[in-house]
Amino acid sequence: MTLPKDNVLNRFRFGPGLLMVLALWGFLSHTQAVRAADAPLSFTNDVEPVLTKAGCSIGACHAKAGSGQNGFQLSLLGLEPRDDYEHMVKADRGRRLSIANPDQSLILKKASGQLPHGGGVRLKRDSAGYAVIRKWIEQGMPFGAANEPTLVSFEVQPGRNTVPPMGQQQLKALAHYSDGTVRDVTSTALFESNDKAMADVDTEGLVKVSDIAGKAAVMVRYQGRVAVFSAAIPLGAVVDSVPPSKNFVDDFVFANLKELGIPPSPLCDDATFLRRVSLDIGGRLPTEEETKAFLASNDPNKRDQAIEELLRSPDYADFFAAKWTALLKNRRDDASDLVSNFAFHAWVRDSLLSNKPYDQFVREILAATGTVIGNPPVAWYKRVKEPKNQIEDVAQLFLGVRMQCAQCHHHPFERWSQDDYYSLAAFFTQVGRKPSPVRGEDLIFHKRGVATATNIKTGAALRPAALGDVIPEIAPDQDPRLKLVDWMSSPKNPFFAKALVNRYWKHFFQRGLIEPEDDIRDSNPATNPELLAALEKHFLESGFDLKEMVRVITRSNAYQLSAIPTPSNVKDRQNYSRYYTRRLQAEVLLDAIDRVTGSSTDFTNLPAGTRAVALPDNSYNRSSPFLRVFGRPEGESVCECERVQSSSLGQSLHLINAADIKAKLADANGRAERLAKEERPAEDKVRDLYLATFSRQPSSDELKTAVEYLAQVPTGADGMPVDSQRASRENFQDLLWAMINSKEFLFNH
Amino acid sequence: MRVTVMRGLLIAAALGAGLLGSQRVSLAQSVGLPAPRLLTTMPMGGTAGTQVEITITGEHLDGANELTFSDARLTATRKLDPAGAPVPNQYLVTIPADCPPGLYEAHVRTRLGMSASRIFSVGTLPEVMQKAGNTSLANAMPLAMNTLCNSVATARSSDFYTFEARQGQRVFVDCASRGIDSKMEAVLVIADAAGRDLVVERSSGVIDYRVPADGNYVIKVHELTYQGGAAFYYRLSLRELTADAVAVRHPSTRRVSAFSWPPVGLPEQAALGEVEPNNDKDHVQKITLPCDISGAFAQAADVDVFEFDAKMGEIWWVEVASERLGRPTDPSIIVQQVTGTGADEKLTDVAELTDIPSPVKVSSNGYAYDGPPYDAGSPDVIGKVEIKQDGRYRLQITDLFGGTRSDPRNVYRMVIRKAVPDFAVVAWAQHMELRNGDRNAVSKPIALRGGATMALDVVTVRRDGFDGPIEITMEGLPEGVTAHGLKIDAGKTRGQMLISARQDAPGSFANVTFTGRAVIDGTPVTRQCWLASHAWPIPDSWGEIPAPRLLADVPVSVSGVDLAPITIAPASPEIREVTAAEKITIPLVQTLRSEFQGASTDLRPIGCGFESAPKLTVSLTSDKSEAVFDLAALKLPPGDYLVAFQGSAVAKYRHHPEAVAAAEVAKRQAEQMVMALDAESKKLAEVAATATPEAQAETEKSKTEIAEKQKAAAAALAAADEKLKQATAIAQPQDIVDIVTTEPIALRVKPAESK
Amino acid sequence: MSHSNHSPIFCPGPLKFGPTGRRSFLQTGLAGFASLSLPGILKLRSLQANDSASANREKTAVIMVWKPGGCSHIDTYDPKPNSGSEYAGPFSTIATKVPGLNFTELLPRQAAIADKFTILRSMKQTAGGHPAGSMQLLSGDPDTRDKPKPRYPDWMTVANYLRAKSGPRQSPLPMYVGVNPPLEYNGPAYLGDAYSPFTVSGDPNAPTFSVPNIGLSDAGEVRRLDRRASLRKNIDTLDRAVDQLGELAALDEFEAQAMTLLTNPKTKEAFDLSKEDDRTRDRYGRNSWGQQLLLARRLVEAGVEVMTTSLSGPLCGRVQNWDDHAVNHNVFEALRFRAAAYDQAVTALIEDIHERGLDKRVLVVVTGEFGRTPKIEHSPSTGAGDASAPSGTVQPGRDHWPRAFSNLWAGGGMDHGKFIGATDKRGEDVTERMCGPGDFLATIYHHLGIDSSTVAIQDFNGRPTPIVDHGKPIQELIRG
Repeated sequence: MTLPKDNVLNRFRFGPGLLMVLALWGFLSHTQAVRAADAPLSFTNDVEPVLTKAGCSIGACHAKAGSGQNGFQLSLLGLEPRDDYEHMVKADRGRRLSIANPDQSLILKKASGQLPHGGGVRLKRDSAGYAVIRKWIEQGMPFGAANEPTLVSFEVQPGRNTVPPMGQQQLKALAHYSDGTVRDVTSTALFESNDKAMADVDTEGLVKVSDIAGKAAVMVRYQGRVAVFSAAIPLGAVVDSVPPSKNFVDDFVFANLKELGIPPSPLCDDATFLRRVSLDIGGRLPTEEETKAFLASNDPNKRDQAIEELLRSPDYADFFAAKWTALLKNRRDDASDLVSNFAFHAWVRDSLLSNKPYDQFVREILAATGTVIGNPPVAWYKRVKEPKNQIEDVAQLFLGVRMQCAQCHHHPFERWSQDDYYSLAAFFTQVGRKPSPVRGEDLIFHKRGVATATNIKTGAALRPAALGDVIPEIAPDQDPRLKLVDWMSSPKNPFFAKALVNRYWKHFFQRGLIEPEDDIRDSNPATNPELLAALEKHFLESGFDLKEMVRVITRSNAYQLSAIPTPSNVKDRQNYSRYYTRRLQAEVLLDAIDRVTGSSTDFTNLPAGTRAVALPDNSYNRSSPFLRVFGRPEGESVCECERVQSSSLGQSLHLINAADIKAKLADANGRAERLAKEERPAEDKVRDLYLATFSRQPSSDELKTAVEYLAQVPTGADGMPVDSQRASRENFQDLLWAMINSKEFLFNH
Repeated sequence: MRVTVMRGLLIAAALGAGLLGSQRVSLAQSVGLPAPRLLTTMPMGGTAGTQVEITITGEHLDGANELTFSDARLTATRKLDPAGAPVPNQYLVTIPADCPPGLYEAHVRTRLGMSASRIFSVGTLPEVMQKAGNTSLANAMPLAMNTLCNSVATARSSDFYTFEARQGQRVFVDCASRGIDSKMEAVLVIADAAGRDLVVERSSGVIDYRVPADGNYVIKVHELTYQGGAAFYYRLSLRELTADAVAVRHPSTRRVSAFSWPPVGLPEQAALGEVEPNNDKDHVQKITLPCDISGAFAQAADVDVFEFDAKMGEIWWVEVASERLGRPTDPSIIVQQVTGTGADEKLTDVAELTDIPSPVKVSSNGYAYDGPPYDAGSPDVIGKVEIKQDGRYRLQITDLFGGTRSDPRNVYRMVIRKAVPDFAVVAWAQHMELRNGDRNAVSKPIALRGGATMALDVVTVRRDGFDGPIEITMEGLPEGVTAHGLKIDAGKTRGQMLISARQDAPGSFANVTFTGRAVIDGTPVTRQCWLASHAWPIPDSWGEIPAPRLLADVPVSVSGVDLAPITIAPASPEIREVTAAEKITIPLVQTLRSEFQGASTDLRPIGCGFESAPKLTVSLTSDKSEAVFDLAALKLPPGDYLVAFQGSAVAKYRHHPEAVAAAEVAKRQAEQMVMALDAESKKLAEVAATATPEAQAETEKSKTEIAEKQKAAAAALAAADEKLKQATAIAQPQDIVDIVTTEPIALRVKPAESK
Repeated sequence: MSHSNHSPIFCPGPLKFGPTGRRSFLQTGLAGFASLSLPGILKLRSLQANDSASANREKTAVIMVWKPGGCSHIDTYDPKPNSGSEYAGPFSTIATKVPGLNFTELLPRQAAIADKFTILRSMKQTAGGHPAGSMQLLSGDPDTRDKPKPRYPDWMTVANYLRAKSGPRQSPLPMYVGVNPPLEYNGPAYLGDAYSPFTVSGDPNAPTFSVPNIGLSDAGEVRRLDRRASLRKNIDTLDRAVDQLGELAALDEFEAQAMTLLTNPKTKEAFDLSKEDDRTRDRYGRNSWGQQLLLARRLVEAGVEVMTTSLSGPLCGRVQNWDDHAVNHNVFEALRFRAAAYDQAVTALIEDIHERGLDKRVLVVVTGEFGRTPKIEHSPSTGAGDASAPSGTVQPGRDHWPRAFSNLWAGGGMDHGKFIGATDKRGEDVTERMCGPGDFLATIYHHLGIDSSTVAIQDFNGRPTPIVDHGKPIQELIRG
């Protein structure tokens, strides 16, 4: 059979080799498990895995949305064998395969590099994969018997194992079929490490581990199924002493450290604790009085009392309201959003202040009805208008599940299909809108009717169902959103409580038990599953009590460890063997600078003295260069990663030399001015300054350095020494500048 | 695709400020001739049986004289300064002891007629005024228990009050703001002595607080977006209640939709109460029709299920009031027929009753002015249930806005009755179709200039199938004022009321009786027609939430001083007869009292039956024009008709011209005074020159007196001169667009002779 | 598939520095700015002086000259003399140094050096509005609807992000600088504000032109800053071992760079046009555009790697940009009004790049977001001003035209003196070698050593988003 007349060659411009990303093509080292030579091959069980392993069906190549690559389309990662068979065998008049002379089949010539192929060489001529496809073509390209065994389950052996640092572990992927047979599919399974710095894996499933102690996970995928190998990489140091365990959090954290042989750092001192807990719960530095009283007290549970005091204060409500309103997209896109921004932020703050149970808080947002003034959470529907965005936000924010990929195809890393996506979207299809007298705002209510959403691929109208759980029939006049929230707040829900607990754990420990904190999936296991389960159970038993969750975390000794690493746990980055430092958030930093320099920042529409942490929406990022350059989020996304905490040139320039920082230092009735005027010994002034800025007493040589500096008399521009009044003022401003530019001030440690 | 002008790509510095969306400069083109509006009274009310001194502010209140109220028992006199002259804008209000507590309309008589009204509250608690500067914890204002404080919110800050309370005491803090015409969305906070928030209330303005421990507590009040100023006033009351007492809130104004409630003859209390649990098909409340039930959407997503038996052919009318009682609810009813029981129960929908539709299309986003900014409809329910088969029927009522809200105060009243055909009517001042919606035309009192004709939109909500015509009438009009109602035709929902004042009508005022009349099943019926208005003229249409409400009275007044720029009236007032299918020409006379922009203006016909009549072009320079009616085209059946024409014109209006004359007179007097004093002092100087030494002291004293007087006179002259300058500036002709309505033309259509 | 996880936390790997042998800015043995004494700062500065010259010799760079509003291709680089009076416009055609390549009479200087650059006439994109058009060309966003904020990062921030991840900078100058850069319809999107440009605004030709945060002018301030810096060295006693993710180290780097920018005369000079001799300044043209392009060349030569500058402002005419609808400008008057300054500045830049041996390392791209409608439209002007008749008078204009337009490519180490692609008789549609926004971006990325077909960056939802969706580098425009 000759090649069809249109010369194939000119159709392909020989582009430069496309670099493979997902899995490098493998020279299939060992052949498939030996089966009867001439037993008919199955497209689904034999050919598709070869194509997927060879990387033909990745998003950048033949599975690219639209029409694939150069007219040849495959489903993403071979998840739709039926469609792929159509494209391979029937599409373009079957020109890709030639039964008469299989080696001349276009698919083989291209894959083996005999013909120029944009994707480069995929299957060498002598590889097992090449042989499988060749035999399949010889057999007349059968799709496979109707009753052929179907893939039932997929596992990787071993599931868990302790791998010594710099050690190796060969994985074996086993596919179980409906007829009971088990096949070793290691050669066609796809391997990918979750954290390449800790453990890397090659295409043959050989895992090589680095010397960073902790838990690493390798995701293994085969034909839409996912299995995980989690490796515990012990440091192996002897862990003889561990701080006393104050609650179950300590039990699990220290147990994990003992298992991995990572000795924790000692507990932090009082001054460090008070500053750390005031920043993490109240979003502010402790006041001088609080620090003095706390350091002086020798009440044994003064730390727990400090935590209670902070939880009762409006500061806690303001700080966590800032966190939630950014995630709930309380954005000011137009001047007329002012009222709904203020109302929605205030509602979130009041809910946190009155410690409204978390499930009730989510219920009042998702099932909101009425007007913004009467029921502020309706403002969420003013911003998130389409059912698609609504479920993507709900899934990622409240369930920790990233559903976006499943909109167009089966989720590459998870079990979510398009049906799961659209049956979740069905919950929001009966949201009725009526015009309100206020510009841009609708009255939200439940529109009577049966809620369905159509899966764009299959065209089927799907009833509401929640991530695999079937929801009982919803009557037309019942609001499906209430059913969704009922499903969420049931104790058996595997996502709701876990997502919140993991998010709050990351707030206090800088790294989620599952990382990233809103990407909870089977193929991304927690580094301490038992701890996560215990926290989840505690949260459910407390009746979704947010303050209790903060209390149980901050009271644990694991939270109160020092940030200074011991020689052996210096490399630990995920097992909480010490407190991980982090830079202060933009609003907290601005308030801290205002407090320390004794100045204040003026925000439009808000009373003088309003703290930056208590700002309702993102419009203040435009009016305050400080908040913008230090990464205060715009409320564009439900991911907390929108808040950029990393440093940048703009931030350093601002802190060193910006006009507003200089103005704050030189504030007429600021701290520098006041201290310069007071008739007190320099030592006392420096001590007060240290209490206010670093919340601790200065060491003796720090005291000496500061006092010496204050004594210097700088020379003015004309070279003559400056008068003493001005010298004292400038020296205090320099001292303050140096302190607010120091790492100890900028970081929470 | 063409972008007309691409905004200059001004390279803002990297930190470009400025909100999203184009900066909207509100080109508030001057709209609507000046109308007097009473905007604030301070304090905003008083205790029954006391006398209160109030200060008023407003727009165009020059020549403000007596202050009157919607209830004659309330009286007010001008406050007099020690010399007996009336102090401008200050009044002494006497509230008789027998005056029932509640809300009253206050309005003030001005040279332009009676002003738009402002709410005046009469309470029972002793009242105090806000101590200035209580915007910090340090100088919070102490508030005694069971007192009420009249206050004004300060911009960008909170007002602080402190009160003493004992453990277990029930304290009821109630802040009236939006309900008494204030622009303030009040936020109430009760905090501990250190000012740390304990309880926060942001939507209802009420906190019913059980005091946890003896001590000093702080009340913080601020506007939701921290606005402040004169228009953001509030009345804050602090009451101690017994544990079981029913807390009665401050009264508040009624929404426009409330004009259609209650149906005439409805008893004060409902006969039946809702019996919980009645939330699903297994817990159903049996009722027999007709019935009158009161219930509440107390729990979140509360569903009240009732069942009744009914016969084929019956027609039951269901009416629910909840939003019209002032609650933030949206009742919705589903009636289903129930067949079979238990598991194999089958429900078939019979009726789904949702909102009372607005009689006229409301403007789309509340401000775009493609319709009136008043919604006479309501989320409440008036609907018909036709029973097609004998059997058991299940009625289910839910609150569409109550999905996640548990509030026992959200009550409803459901009446199911056989048809009682009836109607309710409400009216509001017409306003113009404007581009950017400059709104001061909306809050407009019925204050007529000489020769003016003012048009009110009158709309009706029909009940239980009544669809006959409704006549609209006004009685008790002041002298020189006539009112003609263009009736609401059968099956229609909208008519007009034209109120005209003769050019020479004297300054006068009267509280008129405004009614709608119809014949229902043979018996004549009269219903009160309510008047609705906006509490404030709102210049920036996109920035403020509107506040339309019902008025307690219908004040009609005549300026007696100012004259309307134009009057268009039929040459002779008698009814003109015309035979059907004929043509008739009606001569009209224009009286022009000001120049206008443009040579003519097109007026469109109003009055039922004449909607399709051609436009009337009226010349703005000559004093004659004529209207032609082609009865054949209009296809009007024989009968009496009223028709008028309406449009707009831009007059070069001079405001308060007589003030200029008065100011000139005052200035001349001041000049004479100065000259007289100069003459006197010159005379005195001569006397002094020749006077004897003892008289010297005498002349010295009178010389200083004279100098004093001269200084005062010079100052008076300067003041008079300044006043004159101001008056002439105000009186400069200003381009103001306003509605022009002709006086109605009466036509009698005689049946064509049978040929 | 994802190249790197999103969080742009700067992770140089294990704590110790230097194993990788890269000359790291901090490798002068000082563990970061905190431990810099005054003499230390001076030594640091001298080191950078000779260090930066050698270091950035091999780093490729891009200068994008942006013509906001859409420049009419028919009246400049793709003349259509015989397309009839309703299409052609008044300008006559002139030959260029490259046989067969003709320009209109507006570009004589560029015509004379046509052997030093390449004209691409077959650009095409699908969005007609300024926002959507700019977003398509600069960030590859396929959406054709206008929206207020960009959804994808523009190529400049992506390049800045990828290069910042590949290791600490040698040159004290910021990597990405914008001199009056395009800001309105492009930006960092989910890459975060840390990667947006160091912006210099104002008219470089004005005597009062000064660059904030660069080289404090008066010596007193510099001295005070040094005193403060040394005081801080002793104050900051936070134990460095806590820095497990290298955040403190990253902050040190940026602080050092900030201090250098503020105090180092070298960096101040890089921004100081008075250091260029007058002959060069005259050659570029003593106006804002000329001096902007000169400053662009000077900064790139000193180590900036991504440079954008926008030719807008009063030199464009009444509405200060190239959006020549009849309501804004008389299109032909406007083009004539701009031609001299534009032609001189672009020619000077291209010649200067060649003469100073930068043409291998530096790619120059001159483009707008789309072309303008070949069929001339006439409507009343909305206001008098430069190149615009008094309000109400009908004048000729051209509307937006994304279906075909041209741009100019110079340097980049490729051979020039050619023109690519062609449009039909009237310049309405591309007939040969069509190139889309994807190809445009891939070509620029290719010059910066970024293989755009494989790089994907995670957006906020963790979904790996390819930096170029459909597009391959244009073969004729990449290194020979």
